[in-house]
Amino acid sequence: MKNRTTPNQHKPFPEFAEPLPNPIPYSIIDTTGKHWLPTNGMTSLSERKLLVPLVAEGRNVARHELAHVKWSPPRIPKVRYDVRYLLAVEDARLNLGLVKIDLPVELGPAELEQVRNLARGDLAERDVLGFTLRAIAAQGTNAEATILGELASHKEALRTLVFGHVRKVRIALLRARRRRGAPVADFRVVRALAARLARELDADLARHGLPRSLPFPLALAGAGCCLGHGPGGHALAGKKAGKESGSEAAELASGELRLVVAPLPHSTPSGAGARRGRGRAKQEGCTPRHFHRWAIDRAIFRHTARRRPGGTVLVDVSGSMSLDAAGIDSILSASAGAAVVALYSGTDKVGELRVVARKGHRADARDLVPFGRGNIVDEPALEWLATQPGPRIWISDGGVTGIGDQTSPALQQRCREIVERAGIQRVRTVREATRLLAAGPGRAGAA
Amino acid sequence: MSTPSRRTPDPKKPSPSTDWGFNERVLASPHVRTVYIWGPPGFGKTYAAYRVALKGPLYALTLTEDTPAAEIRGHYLPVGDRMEWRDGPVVLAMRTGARLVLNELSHAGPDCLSFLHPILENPDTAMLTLPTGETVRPAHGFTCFVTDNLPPEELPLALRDRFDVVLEVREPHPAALAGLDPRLVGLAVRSFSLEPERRVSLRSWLSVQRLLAEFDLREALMAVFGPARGGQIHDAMLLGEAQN
Repeated sequence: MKNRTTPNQHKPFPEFAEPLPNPIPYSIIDTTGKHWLPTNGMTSLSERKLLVPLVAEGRNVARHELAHVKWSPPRIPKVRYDVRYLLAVEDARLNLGLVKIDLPVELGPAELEQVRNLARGDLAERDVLGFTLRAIAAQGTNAEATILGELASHKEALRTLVFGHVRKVRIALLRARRRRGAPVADFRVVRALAARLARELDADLARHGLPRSLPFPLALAGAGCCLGHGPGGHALAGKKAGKESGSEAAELASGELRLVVAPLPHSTPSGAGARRGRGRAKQEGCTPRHFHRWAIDRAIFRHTARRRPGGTVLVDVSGSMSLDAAGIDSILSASAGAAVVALYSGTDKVGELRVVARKGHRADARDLVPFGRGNIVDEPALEWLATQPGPRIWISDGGVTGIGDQTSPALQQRCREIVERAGIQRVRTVREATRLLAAGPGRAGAA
Repeated sequence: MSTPSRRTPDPKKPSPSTDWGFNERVLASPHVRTVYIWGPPGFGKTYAAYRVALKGPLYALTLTEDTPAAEIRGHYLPVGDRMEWRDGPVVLAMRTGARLVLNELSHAGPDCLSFLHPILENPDTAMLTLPTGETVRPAHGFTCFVTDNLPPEELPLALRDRFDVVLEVREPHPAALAGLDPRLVGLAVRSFSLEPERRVSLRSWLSVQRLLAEFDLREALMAVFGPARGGQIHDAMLLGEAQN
């Protein structure tokens, strides 16, 4: 099924990359959909935290962050210049090291487009310093050419300035690496290079009458320059999406669906006992219970057969829709504890489908908070529902959207087809859903 | 009695065997009759229960929610035109003084759990009266080893109280690690301290090792862990092996 991932499967293993073993595992934090973060990939070696997007496209970000775990010093040293010079050169050192060991960072088309937008934004705002640091940090990745390509339409003097500094850093890092006979240069080289870059670039910017400080605050330092959406990147990406929304409306794609199973600590009273049936008499088995049938048909053994009233309830919790613990309990009661209950919502281009009840157990109330306020992933969520045991019930107002919470006739048609094909019943309230479940499979569109 | 301690694993050495040495001494002790062994999957709990200090016959069964007590106690069977009693594995083990291994006790239904109470009693009071009217007492040498992934706190209090010994397994059996390629041993040791979502069991590492005979590392990892997880492990492995 397209557009479906399980975040846990994309969790990186920094513990395997770090030079010395440490029994304390890293905290892996998902940055997907968190646009308030300065970038989508960050590492704190001292706190043992790794922030990466837990989606398929996030592997490149994870690869770069693992390189920090492997080669970066535990703490960023204090320097007399803006620390972002140091971070940019360090990113370049790591990316070139990754190329050396055949693990190059190769961004996908969407990420490259985002980086191009950021670089274009830098130049539009005459932020040559930010642009140069971005180009330096992108060395060793396929984003380097994309960023430098933006210079083509600018003056020769500007091109010479940027290319000159990028080339200097690259050559120095490669020479130091060769001298050392290792995949990466020593970190001391990075410090020296960053100090020289800060000095020389500042002088060059002053000579050309360009701004000599970065427009975004120092608090954002620590972010990789080339890989993340970075400051202002989201807004730029949004503008771009707005421009193209008209032409792409007909083929609007759904967001990426992340499948999550919430912890299910609470058992429902109706769950355990109700799942067991009364049993059937059989001629073979190990539990003789119906001795009176010996003379009739010798079917003296009892076979406990599970009833499968079950069913699956998918709840759209975007916008005004919501689901509370009492609602889940009523669904589980109506299905003799056997229903699977999942809720979904999304933000921007990612959504989450969270299983909140299964096998008579439900999630805590705090795990019922929606992932986002948009739909985004109606189509993949319905595809998931179509593969679940019936009756299949979809609690929703019927509105479906894709990336950017936009809708299109084609998307609506695709969702309609899934609903019809899988015999999904759409209702508006939990009460209607429980009524359908209680009525049994015959009444509720079991397929 | 000392309890197993959590140590910093050394990737260059196999997992320390002191914990397992202690565990094996406990399992072999003639003073220990009922043992609850618990820990993450793939650490050799079942291996130890089946092999360590085994002297006589062994009866092993895996319990599920639907396993009836009658299946493990025994039941009547139609033979020709009459009913004949057949002992189940628990009664057989009691009669012959054998080792009884019960896997996944926490999955068992209430029927089964209640049935085990008299079996796990101390030798003076352990007895079972069968539907035939016969009362069976455990013969000399009868032991019951229970393996599970969950801690004993998940068991009913009365049942938990009936175990002579509770052994927690946090490291794989050294015999199992010894069979692992040196390239994988360090990673395997590091992976055991990860949280459950990312923990890689010894079984998976052994699968990777077997596949390496035919596939390259990337392909073997993809096959065992799937493309997403396998790719992440591959990247981390290559970086880990790279020079600092």
